[in-house]
Amino acid sequence: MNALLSVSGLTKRFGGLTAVDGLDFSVAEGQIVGLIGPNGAGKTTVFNLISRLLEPNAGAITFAGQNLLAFPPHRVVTLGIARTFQNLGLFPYLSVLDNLLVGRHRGFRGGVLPLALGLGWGEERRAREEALGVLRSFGMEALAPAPASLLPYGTQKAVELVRALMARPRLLLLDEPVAGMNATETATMAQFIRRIRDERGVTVLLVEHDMSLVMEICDHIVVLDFGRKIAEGPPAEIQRNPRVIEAYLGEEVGRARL
Amino acid sequence: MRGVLFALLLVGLLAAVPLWAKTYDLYLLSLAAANVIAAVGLALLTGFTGQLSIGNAGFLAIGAYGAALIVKHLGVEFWVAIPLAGLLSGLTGFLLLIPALRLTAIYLAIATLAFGTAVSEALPRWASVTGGYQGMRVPPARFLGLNVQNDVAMFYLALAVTVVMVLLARNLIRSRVGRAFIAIRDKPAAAQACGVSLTRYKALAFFLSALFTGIAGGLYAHVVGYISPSEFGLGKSINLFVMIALGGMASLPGPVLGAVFLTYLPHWLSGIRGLQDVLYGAALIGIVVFMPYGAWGFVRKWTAPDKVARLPRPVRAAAEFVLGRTR
Repeated sequence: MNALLSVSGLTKRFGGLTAVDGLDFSVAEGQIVGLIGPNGAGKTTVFNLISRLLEPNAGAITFAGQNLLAFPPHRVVTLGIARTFQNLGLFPYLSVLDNLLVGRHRGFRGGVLPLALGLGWGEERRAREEALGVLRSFGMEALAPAPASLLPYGTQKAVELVRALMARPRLLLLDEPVAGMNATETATMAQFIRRIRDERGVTVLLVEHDMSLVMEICDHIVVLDFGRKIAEGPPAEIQRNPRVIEAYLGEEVGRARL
Repeated sequence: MRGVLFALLLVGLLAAVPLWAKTYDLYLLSLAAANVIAAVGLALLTGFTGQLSIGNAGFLAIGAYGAALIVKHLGVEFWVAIPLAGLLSGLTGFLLLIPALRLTAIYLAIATLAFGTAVSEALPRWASVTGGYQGMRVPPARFLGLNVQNDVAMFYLALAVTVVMVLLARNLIRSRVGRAFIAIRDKPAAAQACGVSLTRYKALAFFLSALFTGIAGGLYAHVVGYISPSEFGLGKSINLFVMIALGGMASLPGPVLGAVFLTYLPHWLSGIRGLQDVLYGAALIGIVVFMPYGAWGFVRKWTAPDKVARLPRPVRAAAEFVLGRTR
């Protein structure tokens, strides 16, 4: 399998703190890859580096053979990387439909002057139909006119994921897709993520603290601690890895110096 | 569809106003028209894109002086002079992009304040062109080769320009541009992740805002016939901000309502000597307290389906007809 995304020697420092420290990993096309680690391990920083919201101090990021670091943040989605945010990236005052339309922003071709003159409605109508179609395929069309902020939290997370799909990405970055969800919602979301990979062939890189979800749906897991990669492998292997257990639970009591 | 009908009805009613109105009423309405355009221009920038500006009177001044000088020296027609003045102001708008790409919220507001102050300070000092502190007379607008001398003709020109500008704003707000503006205002990082370029859309917001305000300035110059630097100071910038805050800044009806109200308020209060400023302040405080989302937010709140459902039957039927909701 080919690596769709590969990160090498990635380093990001905030003042004296090294949030990401010489990180190497790659994501194979068609896989669901989990990026896990204790709080403050640098997972979200890695996402922000990949989506170019942060500039790395060192290292390289290659996506589909292109040097990602040569692109400004708003071009990343054009290359085929869409993302969701840990604390919701929905635009609260826009309806679900309008949120989805922002998601396919780069798909609009019409110039500003024609738009101001009231032309370009054909394009707008087609985009609306496309968005409604995507909502329908996930059984969410009834939500279209609702203002995003009025939806329940779990639904907002799902809508944000659908919005990311509107850009027709090859790689989807999901930052804690099930944070704050109960067991039923988590199961629904797990199915949802699998469907996206299976039906649309979208590669997924996700950050998540819910280990049951990560172990259930991920093909490959990368573990971070203090900005460094401490382990990598399939779920079954990661679960038994002593360094991972130590990072999450601390050293064994017997060996710890009190 | 119903919205279009009501808009047509409103424009039709306004077009019929000269049949009975006095000259002074028409003058006030023309003044309100200029303020509406300026308020819509500020709403695009501050209400929709979230870029706080308290320097937009600077653009108003550039538009007003620009139009006056263009007509004076080039003798061009009204419909050429006004867009040119708007464009001149619009291009100056890009100047504010320099601070806007680095600063947000109140810090950006201070930068815009500096811009507004710089313009209003520069005008009187450039006396050879602007006429200094005394100001300058604005030559009468020329339309189809005729001089526009009376208030009825000026009123129709102002109405036409306003309808065109409001329509342009409406089309843009409903397109991907409006969505991108709101996205930048609410979640800039998510907006970028969706492919919205902050640089490009902030530039567009400043350009549009300056363009609208410049056109408003050009119209204002023609309506009043005489302009001086003191009209375009900080007070005017704050006045514009109050218009959109009162009306509801992230909407189109909001700035329109706010601009009309704030144009008329001083005239309604002018009969009451001495208490004028007190009542003016009290009115503003009252509105802010009782309508925290502006007049339009207030209207939206009380016309929400659940509120309408609780109205007595005949009132409810009328309300549902007006709102276009029939069961």
